[in-house]
Parts: sequence; C-alpha cells; structure tokens
Amino acid sequence: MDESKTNTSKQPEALALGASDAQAVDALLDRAGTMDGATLAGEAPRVQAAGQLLGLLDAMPAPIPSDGLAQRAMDRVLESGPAGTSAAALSPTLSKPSGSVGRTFANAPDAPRG
Amino acid sequence: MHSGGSISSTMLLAIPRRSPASGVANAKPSDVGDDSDERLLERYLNGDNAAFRGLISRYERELYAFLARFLGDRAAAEDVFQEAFLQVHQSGHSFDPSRRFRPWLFTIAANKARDLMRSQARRPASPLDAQISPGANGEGGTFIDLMAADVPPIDEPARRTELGLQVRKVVDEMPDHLREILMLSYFHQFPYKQIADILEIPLGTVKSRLHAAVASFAHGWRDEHGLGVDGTASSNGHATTDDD
Repeated sequence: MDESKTNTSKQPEALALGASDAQAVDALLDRAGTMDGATLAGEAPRVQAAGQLLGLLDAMPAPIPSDGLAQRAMDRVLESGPAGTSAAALSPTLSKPSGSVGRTFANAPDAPRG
Repeated sequence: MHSGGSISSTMLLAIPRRSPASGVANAKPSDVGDDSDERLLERYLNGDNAAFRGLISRYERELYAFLARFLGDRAAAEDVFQEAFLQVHQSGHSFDPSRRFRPWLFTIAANKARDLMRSQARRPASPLDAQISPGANGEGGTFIDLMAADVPPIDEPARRTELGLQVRKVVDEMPDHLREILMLSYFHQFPYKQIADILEIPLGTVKSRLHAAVASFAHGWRDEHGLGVDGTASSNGHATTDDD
C-alpha cells in the first residue's frame, strides 16, 4: 500500500460503487421513478440491501428546534422592514448572505422571473 | 443474485416511506388552512403577515432539521433558518408562483448554510465527489451487499439510541457536499431533478454525487465498526472529480 496516497482526513476515499448498487440507490432515492420495472425487479436484492443500509439513517434522532424559532424568524422579518429596504437581511455570520441564493435555479430570488 | 419477489414489497421492507418532514409533523396554524406554500407567499406579498407566519411555521421543523443535520450545529441551524426566511421576505417578489416554493426555500437555505460553513472554515475543504468507478475486478463495490449482513435491528429503544449516536458520528464525518445531498434526498425526499435545481448542479452530477454519498456513508459505517469495505482492510485509492 502506498501510504502517501492514503487519505487519513475526513475527505472521501475513492469508493467503488458497482453499477448494480448504483441502480439500487437510484431505485430507492430517485422519486421521479426513472427506472423501469424490469430493471427494478432484477435488482431487488440489491435494492433491499441498499435500503437496509440507508435505513440506518433513521436511527438518527430528528433535530427539534428550540421553542419559538418560527416566531423569532418572523420577528426578524418584521424588524427588517419592507423587502429591499433594509440591511437587516445581512447577517454578521454570513459571508455573502444577500447574494447567497440560487443563481442558475430559474426560480431563485435573484433570477429573472420566468 | 436475481432472486424473485415483488419489487414493491421488497422496497417497502427495504426503506420505509416517510413524509418529507422526516416523520415529524410541521406546525399548521389554523390561519393558513390548506393553502399551498405558493399561495401563502402570494398572500404575504399582498400584505397578509399571518400567511408568512404560517409559512415559517410550516417549515419550522423540516427546514431546521435539514440545517441541523447539514451544519451539525443547532445554534447555527437556527440562525440560518432565520436568515433563509429573511431572504424569502427580501426576495419574495421575484418568486415565480408557477414554480414550487419548497425547493426554492431549500436552495436559499442550503446556499446560506454553505456560506456559513465557508466563512467559518468549519471543516477542511472538501474535494469534489469521489469518483464512482469499477473496482479492480471490474465488478465495482459490493459493500452494500456486505452491509446487509451487518445492519443491526433498531427496534429496541436503547439499541436505537446507541445506534443513532454511531450513525450520527458517521454522517457528521462525511464531506459536507456528500452529507448535504444525502440529507436532501433521504430525509427530505427531493427528486433528483429538484436536487439538481437546489444545488445548481447537472442531473448527472446529482446521481454520481449521491452514489458517492452512499458509498461514503457505507465506508464510514464499516470504519466505525472496525472493518474495511472489503471486510478485511480499509479500502484506499484516489478521489477524483465527477462533476460534469
């Protein structure tokens, strides 16, 4: 093993995911359902295995916001004044908050209206 | 390998269906009724503050959950949550009501979360996606199959709590962009196309990045349990870009 090439950080290693496993992942996660039935049936065991793997994520407890988060958000909105007139939208914690919206997503705030 | 069985029943066993809010019902104030998100925003833009309050409440749990999982920091998640709705308020007039509000909101929130992470340099810069490539034997990885035997039952509460901590550790250690896309897809059930819009990446990159995310999670899980991907030793190799 060439240790100099071994990544010991949290960065991803080169992970091989076979085509069948990739299809199984797509079958589970792509809600658009682009995979045909025959392919799905052929990959049933892998789909089930992938489902078991991803099902581990369900063990993570759902984060619950502290009480009043929605109200605090609303208060900030009201304090900021009418849209486009206040600098309150600029957060001291964010590097480029007002511009940090989708730039190519046609429906994003600073994109031309469709 | 290609055993029989109904794919629908298999899939039901494999991965339970859940609401996009990860099984946590969002608040639904009575003053917003059954109005769509888009309608609520329209009402707000016409001066109805209660509609906006309802919109925020509707997404309080789901959007916060996404941000908390992505950022791994509850306080930061709450701050970004507020920033996101402030941005919605500021930019609401540019919203195209013929489009869906939910992916638009997540686009804003995800961008703000990434801005925050960059500004804080909270994690080492993540490289682009690990390439999903065939293994040396040409068969590609088989760890999903290997994983199947190692996934413990999570029915018992005590075991589930312990398991939850282990899973969270693995997820927290995933590269940011892989954790982000896995959260959007698994917990929030966005179709690939909407993920492409939210993350502003090509559809093909969504697929490859999501595959990398699953691979990363599986690899982390195996590492957490002291086994390499192949069951005997850690895999190694090179990370290359898949972005196209």
